Amino acid sequence: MKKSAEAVVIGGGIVGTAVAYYLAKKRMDVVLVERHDLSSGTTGAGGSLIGLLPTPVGPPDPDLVLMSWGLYQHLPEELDFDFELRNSGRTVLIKDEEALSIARQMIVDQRERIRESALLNEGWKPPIEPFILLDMADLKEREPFLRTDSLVAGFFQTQTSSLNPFLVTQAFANAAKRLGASIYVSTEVKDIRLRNRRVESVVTDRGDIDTKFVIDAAGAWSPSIGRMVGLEIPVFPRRGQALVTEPAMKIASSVITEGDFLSPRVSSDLVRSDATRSGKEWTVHCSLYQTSHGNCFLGASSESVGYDLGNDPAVLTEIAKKGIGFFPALKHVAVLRAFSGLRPQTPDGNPILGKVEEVEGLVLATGTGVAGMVQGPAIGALISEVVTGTETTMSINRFDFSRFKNLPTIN
Amino acid sequence: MPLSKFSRRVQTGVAGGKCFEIEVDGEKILAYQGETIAAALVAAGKRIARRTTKRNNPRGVYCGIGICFECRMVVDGVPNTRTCQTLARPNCRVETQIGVGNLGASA
Amino acid sequence: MRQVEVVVIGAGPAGICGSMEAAKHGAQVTLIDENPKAGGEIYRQVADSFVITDRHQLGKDYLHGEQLIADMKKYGDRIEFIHDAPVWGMFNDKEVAYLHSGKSEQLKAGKLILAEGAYDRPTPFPGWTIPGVFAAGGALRMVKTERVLPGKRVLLAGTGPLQLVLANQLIRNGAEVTCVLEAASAGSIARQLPRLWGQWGLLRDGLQYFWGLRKAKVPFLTSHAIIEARGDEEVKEAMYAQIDEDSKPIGGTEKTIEVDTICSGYGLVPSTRLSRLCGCEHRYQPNLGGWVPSHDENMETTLPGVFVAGDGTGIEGVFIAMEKGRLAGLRACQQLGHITQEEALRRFTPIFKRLKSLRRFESALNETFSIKSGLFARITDDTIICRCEEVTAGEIRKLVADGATNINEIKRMTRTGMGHCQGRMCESTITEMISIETKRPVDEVGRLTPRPPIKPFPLAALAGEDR
Repeated sequence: MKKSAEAVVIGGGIVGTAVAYYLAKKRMDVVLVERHDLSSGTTGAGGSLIGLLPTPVGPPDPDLVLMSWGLYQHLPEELDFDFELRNSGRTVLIKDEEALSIARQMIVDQRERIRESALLNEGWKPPIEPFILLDMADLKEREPFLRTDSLVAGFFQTQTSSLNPFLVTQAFANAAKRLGASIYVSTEVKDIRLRNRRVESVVTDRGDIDTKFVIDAAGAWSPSIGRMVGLEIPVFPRRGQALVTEPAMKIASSVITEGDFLSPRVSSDLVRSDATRSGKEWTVHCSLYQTSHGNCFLGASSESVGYDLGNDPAVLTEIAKKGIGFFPALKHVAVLRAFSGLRPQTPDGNPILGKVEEVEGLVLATGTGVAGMVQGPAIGALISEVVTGTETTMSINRFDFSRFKNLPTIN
Repeated sequence: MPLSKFSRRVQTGVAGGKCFEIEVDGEKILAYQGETIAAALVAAGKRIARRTTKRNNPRGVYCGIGICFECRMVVDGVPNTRTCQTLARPNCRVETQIGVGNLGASA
Repeated sequence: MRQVEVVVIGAGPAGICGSMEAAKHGAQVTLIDENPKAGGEIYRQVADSFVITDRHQLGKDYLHGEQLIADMKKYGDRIEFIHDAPVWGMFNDKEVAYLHSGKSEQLKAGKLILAEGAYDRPTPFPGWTIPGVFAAGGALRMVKTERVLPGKRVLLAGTGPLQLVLANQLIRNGAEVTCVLEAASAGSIARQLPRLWGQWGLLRDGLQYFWGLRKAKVPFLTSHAIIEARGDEEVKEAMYAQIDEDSKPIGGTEKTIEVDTICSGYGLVPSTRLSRLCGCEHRYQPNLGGWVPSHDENMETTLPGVFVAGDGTGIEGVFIAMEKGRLAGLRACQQLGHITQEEALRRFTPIFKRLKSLRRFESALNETFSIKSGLFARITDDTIICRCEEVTAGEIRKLVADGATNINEIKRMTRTGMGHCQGRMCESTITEMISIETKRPVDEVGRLTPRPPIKPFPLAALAGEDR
């Protein structure tokens, strides 16, 4: 194992591997340490969807998302790795008139944001029609197996794709290695040594690494890294349970999402978390898609249960009910495995990116909440710019850790 | 597939109960009350349960105890039904499953 | 949620004995099993609608099983038997989720006894996926309880006594057994004979099985293994060869034989899905068949109130399985306060004694008929390892050569273990392969993470709706 590096990235999920890649691309001597395996954390348990997740409350941040989207289009070629990126689009199901009017307004707002965002994103042209409003006849035609009697309308979002989370992290890691990075799995960070509030080295269970920069990309576990240097990072685990079915014939033609998030209250509940959140209440927001192998991914719950990665039969039952409710054909399809992931959520739903005043050399790349996969590559690229001192492609000031300044620190 | 002269049914010690027909890929074969579809298929010498998705390879009963899922077929329109775990019923319809199978009429 | 004092999962010999012992000493027991009847594998009973015309044709094990099940029925009011009920998950503290009549149900156990049993060790060789290749245990079930022969002209290949039982059943019921290939050497078998001193019943059985082969002129070839199965749509022929002390095929000794059926029986693997799912510690013990749950001498795992019994704790045969079941049932009763510590100890003592004596023989068996790494030399790059996802050995070997060091990396890159069998058919092989290629011990190359459901089942049942 290397004894020194210019930058050590902690965490082998989508964010960590993307950061490692973009740093290596900038010829930095970078080491990534992951305590289990790549994508064994939230990334591997996630919905594996990318694209603009339109919510009325703001997060996920459209600029980050759209920058990532642009990067994703070229990644299979750039990383020379097929990670099953498939653009199937997303169909949002709308249940009532109120949701429909919210949807209409949101679509107008998002179109504007997309247009603005495109100006920041070189080489990426926004689609002519990012959102298409669908009536019942359209819905039925696009999704013949969809049960529509509880719906009033839908809208189709052209920019949603699914991908394989295990393969995309491997793709970033392999490419990083080819560019000289070192990737150490089954290696746990035990401590970060500082000298005069400046990063000196990272202590792992396999040895120490002297370094100038430490990038905390440990997702739901980034607070424990922060505490090693006396920093209290406001990232809170928000569990999502989901299940995967056996491969079946094509039932869903696009990603299907329940339109409940169109309500600002529901949206807020889905994307934001703070320290006060806990307890047994949970919600299920239905999202479904079918992979190229035919497996249907059905998610997902939203719960605050600390770091418990178990499953709850009541929640799984609700997910199954919702899935069958939308696709009766799923009745006969068997569930192969249930799993869970911990979304690293922040109080305002936006990630925490960039340097911190308190510790020189520490860079945060965490708090991606529901949008880790969605924002990953952009964060990777932006953080690599932060670390190497180049001007960032887009401003990340609004994601600065200092916006949480009133939170207590430990000395 | 016609029954070969050699009988795969064990003749001694136990006698089957009621006997009836089940349909396998359009053909009728004999089955006994209380036996699994897989047993009836093996008795009839019908060994291919399905063809795999990637390579279109034939697969049939392997573990015989319900854990390998190789014996799965479309039974009464429902794909991925383990024939070694499913009792034969009079006139049940059994079809070779190709790949992931078709949810067909049951969808 | 319904609460039950003692929940026993798995109604094989261990589960039945555990249930009886618990009930005998005052506990209310619920015994759950996925099969229509109790008996597990070795004591599996024929369907109710079958008519037994000559019970002695069914073999000794069958009759023992029948008796044991009849004994259990005597506890009718104390033992509730829920059959046709696969357990699919375990949650929180001893909460058991199972399927029954197409719906998911839950139970909370005061004390839990897991008697998951075991299954045939999958041992890949080229062509093992061709229809007509059966696991020996499954073939035996077919003959004994389904009363159907797996084929006409059969080759048996494997190691251990189960093959002898199967061969005799096949011969007796009209199949043509071409030969029985035993991986162990004649010498290693002979060396264990002194340990059989005192086990007259077992010795007599063994001799009877050999005599059965002799009478039918079926060659029993020690130090031999199957190398390849051939056929397009079904098995047409088999190639076999002599093997060395490490079970590696010896070049130049290959022979081909025309067969339509191959029964492959290389021992059993403990089933540990539930014990892993509930979080108890496990350790790797190759002499017991692989990974097994850690437990104390009274069968309690590292989780208080969760016990294990039977082949799921290590492959040690039916008699040891039953004793383990009894220990677990007794200890559960003691913890519940139905019997005092002194009473419990009085009952444990004879069981420990019997176990000690039985273990002398069983460990001899396990040593002789263990799997050696040379067996994996049969696996060509084209051999399918993950049957569900159709992943070949070559694909796995390439990843290991490129630096993959644990099974989860292999899984994520190739989807091995992500199919219907949930890794049962490939996990042991892949970990062995990684171990061999990276020269690291098997218990350092990782295990697949257990997640519910431990067997796939339709969404409608999970949703609680009728199909």
